[in-house]
Amino acid sequence: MREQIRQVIAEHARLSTPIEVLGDEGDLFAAGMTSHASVNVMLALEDTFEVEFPEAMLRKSTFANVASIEAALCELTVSV
Amino acid sequence: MTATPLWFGPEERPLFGWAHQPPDGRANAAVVLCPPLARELTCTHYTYRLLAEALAEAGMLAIRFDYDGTGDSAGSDRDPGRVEAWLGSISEAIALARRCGAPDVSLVGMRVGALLAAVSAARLGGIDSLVLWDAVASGRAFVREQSALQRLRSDLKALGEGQVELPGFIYSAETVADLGALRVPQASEPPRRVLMLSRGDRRPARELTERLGVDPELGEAVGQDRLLELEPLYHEVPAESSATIVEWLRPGGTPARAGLSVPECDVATLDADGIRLTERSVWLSDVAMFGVLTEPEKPLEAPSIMLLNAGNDWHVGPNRLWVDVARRWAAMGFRCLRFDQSGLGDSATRPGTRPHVVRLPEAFEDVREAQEALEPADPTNVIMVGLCSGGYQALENALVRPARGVYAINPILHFTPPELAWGPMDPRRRICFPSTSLVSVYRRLPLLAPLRRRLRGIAWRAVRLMHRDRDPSSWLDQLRANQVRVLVVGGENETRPFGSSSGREGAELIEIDVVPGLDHALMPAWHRDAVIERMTEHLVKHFAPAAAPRAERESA
Repeated sequence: MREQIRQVIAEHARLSTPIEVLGDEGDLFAAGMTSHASVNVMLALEDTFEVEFPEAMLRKSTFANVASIEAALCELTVSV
Repeated sequence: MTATPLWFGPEERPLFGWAHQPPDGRANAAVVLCPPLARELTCTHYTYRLLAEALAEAGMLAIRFDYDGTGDSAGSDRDPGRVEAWLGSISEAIALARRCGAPDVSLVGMRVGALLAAVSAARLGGIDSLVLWDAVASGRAFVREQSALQRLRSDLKALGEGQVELPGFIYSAETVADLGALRVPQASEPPRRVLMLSRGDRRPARELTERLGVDPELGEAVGQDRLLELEPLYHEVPAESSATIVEWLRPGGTPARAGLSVPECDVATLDADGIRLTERSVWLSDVAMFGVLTEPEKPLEAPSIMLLNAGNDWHVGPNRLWVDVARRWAAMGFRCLRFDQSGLGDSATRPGTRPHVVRLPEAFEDVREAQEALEPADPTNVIMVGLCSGGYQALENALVRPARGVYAINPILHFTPPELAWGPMDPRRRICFPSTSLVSVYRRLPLLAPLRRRLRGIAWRAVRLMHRDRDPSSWLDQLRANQVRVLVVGGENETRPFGSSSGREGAELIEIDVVPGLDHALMPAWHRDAVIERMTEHLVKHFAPAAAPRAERESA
């Protein structure tokens, strides 16, 4: 799952710092992800994992780093 | 090319639009440009203007318009029946094109405007060509994407049941449901051809064309991310896609072209909570700056209000705030002018300057000339209102020529004046703290963000030490001396430069109102409401109570 998340981020987050050099706790917003890019990441994650993030999860903290995204997807009981 | 502003459609609910005619005033083909909605409408206004001008240069009549409840048209996004009203606006714009004398009508729609254009083409029939530009797959997808964007960038307060907040706008439960249910119906008389331009990283929204029964020609919508996803000051016009659309729509061969006749209607009557207002399109100064003047039947003997551009947003203001306050304050008796400075929005560009550039030194002349046009007998009899760069410019102009009042919302005093790219800073700038390259690096490097948050106070003290001559304590004194009432409303960061203003003689003239956490662009609805409330309170307290109707004073 983590690699798929990283792939989505690489394609949609438009980071100024490459995702490869960011750890799982690395702050994606500090690395240049804009609000628009975070929505693109969210929509791509929904397509990739066939889930829909509920409103309560639509917070910056959900998409702040790879680990938080993974935790949110696990909560949505994703099976990969 | 001639561009004519006009009101059209239902008399009791007028729509605002522009007719762009070819240079020789002749055309058989018309193109109706259906804009996106909400924040995306603001992002694309200038692109649509350039596209309309290019279509007219290519020999077509181009109609731009604001849907009911958007832009300069009557109504609000909180009114009932939004989706049908937007579709009705497209019908009215098509009827206008035909009334002008161009029978062959095509539609261009971007984003949710593409969905509305496709539905209209299917419902109405008789549309020649249809361009779907970066179309949303559905109304539901649009609302979901935009509401997620708002949630991920702002703190939101609870709204009414089923209401959804998009960046800068609120949609009712009814609007959300109607948009979600909107489908392109089976077309009995489909368009002759369809062009679908889609982003390279998204699949084409074929849902829109399946029921039209037309196989679309496919192309790439180049540059949509730089048009819709950058901060407003950095928007880029997608010139390549615009050129593709013009060429695709350009009439082939040498078609017969009839003379066009655009109806003249530069004034509309509106109802604001039972109070009758007029809105008039006006051209200001020799530069042809465009504006809309909102007036009550009986204006007060009070200063007129000037609403300045915020960044490069057009004259309807940030998230249409200027339209809302102009109508609200006109209902209280104030004359209100919202206008585009030269080179912005719908205005012409001054000779020798570049269009669509914010904070040019020519803004000093723009505001001064607008003051003179609005209050020719006493140009100081104005209250200047601006957000961001508009707030900055209002303060600067009040130092050059006093005004009765200045309302500066989230003014930015620390920026790089554009003239530094070719010479020294304009000497009229009294309050700008010019950015240096070192400061720019400090402000832009993402990795320094946590450090910046901790050092904000120290950084501002350092900036003030570097520019002692520009310290607010000196120029605020001059505004006080000139009896200019100043209200600054802003978040902690935007009001920090004004920190030294309190506790001085005449301090009651200068109010610095800090609203903790205020979003710079006022995207959340409660931030807009808070700012409107503060400005309206100030207006009533200082400029309305002693005022008598102008007509009574004049007759007396």
